Amino acid sequence: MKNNFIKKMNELNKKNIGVYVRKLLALDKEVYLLYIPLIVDRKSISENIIKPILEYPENSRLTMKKLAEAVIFADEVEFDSDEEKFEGYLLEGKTIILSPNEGDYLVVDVLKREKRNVESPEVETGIKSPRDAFTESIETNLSLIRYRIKDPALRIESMSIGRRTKTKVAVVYIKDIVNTDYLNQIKDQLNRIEIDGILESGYIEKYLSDKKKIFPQIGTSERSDSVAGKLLDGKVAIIVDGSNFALIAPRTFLEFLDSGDDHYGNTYISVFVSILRFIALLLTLTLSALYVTVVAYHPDILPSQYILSLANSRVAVPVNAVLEALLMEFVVELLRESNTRLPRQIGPSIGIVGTIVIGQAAVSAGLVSPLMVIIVSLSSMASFALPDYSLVNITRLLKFFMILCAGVFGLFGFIMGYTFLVVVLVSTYSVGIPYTAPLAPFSLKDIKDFLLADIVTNKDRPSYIDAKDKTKR
Amino acid sequence: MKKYRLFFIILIISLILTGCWDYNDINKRNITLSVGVDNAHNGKGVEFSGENARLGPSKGHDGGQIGSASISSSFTFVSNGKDFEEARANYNKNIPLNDFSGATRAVVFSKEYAKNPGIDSYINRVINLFGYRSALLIAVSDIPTNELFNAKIKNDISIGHAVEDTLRHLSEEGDLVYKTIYEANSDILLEDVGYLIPYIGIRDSSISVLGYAVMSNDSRLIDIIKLNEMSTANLLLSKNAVQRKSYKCPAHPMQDISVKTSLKRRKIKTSIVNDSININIDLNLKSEIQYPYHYLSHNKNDIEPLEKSIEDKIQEDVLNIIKKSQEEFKIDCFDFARYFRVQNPEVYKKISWKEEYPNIKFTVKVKTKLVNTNLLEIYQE
Amino acid sequence: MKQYLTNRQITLLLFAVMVGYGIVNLPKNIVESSGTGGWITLIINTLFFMFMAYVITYIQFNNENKILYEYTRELYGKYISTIITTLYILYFMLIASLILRMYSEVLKLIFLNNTPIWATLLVFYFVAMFAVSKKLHAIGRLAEIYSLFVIAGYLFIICIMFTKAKLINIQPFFESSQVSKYLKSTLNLIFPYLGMEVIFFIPLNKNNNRNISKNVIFTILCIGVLYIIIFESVLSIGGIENITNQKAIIFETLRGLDVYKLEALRRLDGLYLIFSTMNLFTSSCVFLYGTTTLINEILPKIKTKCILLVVTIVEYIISLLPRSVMETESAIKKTSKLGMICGIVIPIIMFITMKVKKNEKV
Repeated sequence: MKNNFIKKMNELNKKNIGVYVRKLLALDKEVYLLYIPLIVDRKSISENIIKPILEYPENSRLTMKKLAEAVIFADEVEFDSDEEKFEGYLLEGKTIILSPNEGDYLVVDVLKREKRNVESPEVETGIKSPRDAFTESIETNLSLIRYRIKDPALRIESMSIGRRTKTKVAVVYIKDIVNTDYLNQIKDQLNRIEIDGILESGYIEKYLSDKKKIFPQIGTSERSDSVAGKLLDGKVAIIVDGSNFALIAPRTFLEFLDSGDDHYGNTYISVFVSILRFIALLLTLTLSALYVTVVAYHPDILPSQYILSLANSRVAVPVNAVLEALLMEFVVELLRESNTRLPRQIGPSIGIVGTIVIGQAAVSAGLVSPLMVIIVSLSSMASFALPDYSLVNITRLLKFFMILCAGVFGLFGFIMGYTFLVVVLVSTYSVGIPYTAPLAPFSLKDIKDFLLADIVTNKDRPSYIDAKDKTKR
Repeated sequence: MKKYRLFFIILIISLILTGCWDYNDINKRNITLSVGVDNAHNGKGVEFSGENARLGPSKGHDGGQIGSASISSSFTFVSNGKDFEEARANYNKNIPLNDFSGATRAVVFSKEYAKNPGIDSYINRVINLFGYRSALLIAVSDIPTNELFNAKIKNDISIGHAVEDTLRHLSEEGDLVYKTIYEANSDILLEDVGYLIPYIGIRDSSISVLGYAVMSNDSRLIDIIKLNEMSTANLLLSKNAVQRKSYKCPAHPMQDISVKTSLKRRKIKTSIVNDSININIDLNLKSEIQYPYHYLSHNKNDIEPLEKSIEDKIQEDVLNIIKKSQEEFKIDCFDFARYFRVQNPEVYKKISWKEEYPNIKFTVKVKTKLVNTNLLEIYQE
Repeated sequence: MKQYLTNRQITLLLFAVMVGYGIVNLPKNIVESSGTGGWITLIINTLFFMFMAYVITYIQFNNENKILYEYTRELYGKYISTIITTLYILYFMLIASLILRMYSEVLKLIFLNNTPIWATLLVFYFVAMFAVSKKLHAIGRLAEIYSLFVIAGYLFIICIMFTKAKLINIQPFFESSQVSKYLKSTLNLIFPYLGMEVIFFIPLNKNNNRNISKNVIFTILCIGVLYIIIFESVLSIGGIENITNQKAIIFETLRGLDVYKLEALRRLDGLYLIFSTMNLFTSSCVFLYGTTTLINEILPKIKTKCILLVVTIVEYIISLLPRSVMETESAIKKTSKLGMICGIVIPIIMFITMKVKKNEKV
């Protein structure tokens, strides 16, 4: 046995994985320390492992067991005897303490990785909501959830996905609320993933969704309070190490319109804001298409004065309405993409240049009509009113589809394009739950709970989740 | 399945690129603002005249204002032809863009055209053709429509706007009943009745309403109801007729009092007595004193005689206008036929309403109540 | 796996199927056959069809989890049930194609003057095929969402029409001499009420769909009331003469209506187009699904997707066959006679058979 350990140690030393070997002499007993300095807490090693071993005063025999129980100060200690697992432990940031005479070796967890502090959420900002957002470290994230839900029924199941990255993925749920069907479905799908590396929760999201679907079926969240709220509703959260977005399954369409701080504010405001967000979604999708319909196919929908002023404003425009709409939407998308990647020093000025100058100058040069500029900026502003980023992305794409439909067949094409989207919406499932859940199948209580977002009157969990524990009292 | 998908994609792309059959941008179309129909001046045929919108400032003028949405001006057009189709074809040859008639505001017929051949053929044209809205207003003008549309008016953008705005504001105040093409059509389809259309002209560089034009059952112009009788005709036709008149105060003969009388309810009962038709018209009005011409003190006993004099005057006016319609126009232009048909359907089928109309006995009962004296305290103890 | 719909989805689906086409020429048919007292005929028809609703839901409810082909096979044997199912397949195919053709003609006359009919029909069938390929659940949910919009739209249009109504146009309400005419015209007004036989291919479940009979009967009552209100409001604006003169009367009435106060919504027939397209789309999806499912039952070896594609192509060809509007209308009249057999005669026979068998067992 002892030779194997030393032999393995020398092998590892020759490979260039960064292993460092420290030899200690404790009362004439040889003790070797193996660790990768890049990912361990070197201070902790010297204070909690090396120092107590070297200062060991007693005269009795030093075994691994005695080391673990009486000498080493570090908190997580394991025994193992398989030398093939050396690499695995070392790459996880653990230190291996071995001795040539013993059959076991100790594995001490001293992982230290660079991580940032808990900061405000970047994407899901709100006015009256807690600001501790997730970071890239899975321990921080899990601790943010754990301190909020002190229920012993909260279970955290870890698994390691990805052959080369061995990313730690945690499935979090509350055992007496969650529906075990979804849970098992999610766990099965996760276990079936076979891939080199998982770098971000977006990869897992793609594995858990159906292949050809347009609308996002798994929700993402950056804020720990909203994840805790969803767990209490009976949903399952998936946290991926290295990603500051947690996944929540299942997620229906209406929940994409729900921003966490609705629940914390006034009830009437939350009703108003929910309806406003829904209208914002519709506006983003259809405003340009409606413009094309009205200008090119059915101007007589409008009263006579509007027709004249509309025609007047388009007199100098050289392109027809469809091309104008597509062009302006394309320019806005370009501006949006370039804005996300601007460095901070020149960001604001270029933003002003892009939006104001291009808009104003285009109108003055007679390239687009002023109404088109208003419509395009209104629809892109409306898209920012939606709290969830994944839905907004899809609407940006579907906008072009609607413009094309309206451009070919007018009002009829607009309705057919809309119907196509509704059919796609209605036939999507999120982990087995229909996507349009409180609307169809209709449940007035759930819609009321969603709109009012009032914790006092909302006594039950949403019925489509089919949780084990249906009431919140 | 992959081949089918490819096939569908190719089909859809070809549909998008070659389709758009109905695609017509609004600024590339010729917007008609108003239409006038007249007899052709040089012999037989019809003449279309009217206004088209002139879009935007002309090129080269204000450089900074291109594309701003300003109210446009208009220019007139004229086209002749042997019938509607030929006149329209001649019109099409003169305009540079596709025509758009969905923004038309009014259709005006000239007096001569309304007398002969009559307006029902054009009404049928508007109702059935694609592109026209059958909610257009119609009016008859006392000058040829060519002159009407070329006249300069001082208080509106174009003649079409002026006609529509004038007719609408008068009808909101209760001084006029206008007819759309759809409503005129339903009167034409109910044979044996006539109908009233606003009669307009140009006075003092603005469009002014001169009365009602009485159309016969084959949609020809028979006669005109003048301005002073318009308010009485409104009492029989409109839902919210209002009459503003000054009456002599019965107690103080030198005093004139201005009274606003509005219609509360109108009941028309038809009956057959001994083979002759009787129609009872019951008008329930309410009056409000607006102001007296001179300041004099009145007391409460002046109210009843004032009410009675209002009732008598209105009853006399109504009977006069009905008598006129029976003797001079000889056509029912106040829609009594519908009431008779509802209340006596069997008899209506057997008789010819047009022939029986001059022999109908009318009785009119007017009842009014003076509800307030505005804010004036003119009655003292 | 059998798929169930909730009660609400079934009733809203029925609403879409029945109101979808029946309402377009409803006022004209009523006025031609019974004049202004037509509301009496509508009441009689509504009561009769409430009874038929009870019959049909009874049949389907007592054959839990089964659809038409399966339980007629139990009742009558394989040969007759194949004939009955084929009759229904033919009826559903014809009615869906002809209704869509009529709708495209109206669309071409009023809105899209130059677009050829094959293009609009192509788009329609494409989206309908896509919707049906998502199975019954998707259609049920689609019906739920869309029918709510359609009902809201109809209520809005009715309110607007009532502001311009003239009471004199809808009188006389009742003429005692015309009673026999009212009773005879019930036969002419069956077409707007046809459509309940779509329940025959929706499997019902005794737990999920309790009280389905009551819900369906109530729905038929509401549809009858809606028909009466629409009829009266259209009549009150134009009068009898206007209605008999024109096709697609609701569109024409809305075109002739100019409510000045509603600034932006003055062209009401555009709004009406949106609702009626939604309605017709749902009903054509339902018919397409019914045809596919019944064919799938008779020939279980062929894949559903192939059947769907073939059925869509056949319906597209049938839609293009009539050469003019008149031919389409006469074809619809003939199909409605077939519909009377499928919708009234066969269910009553099956009802009686089932009651007899039940009594025999007991």
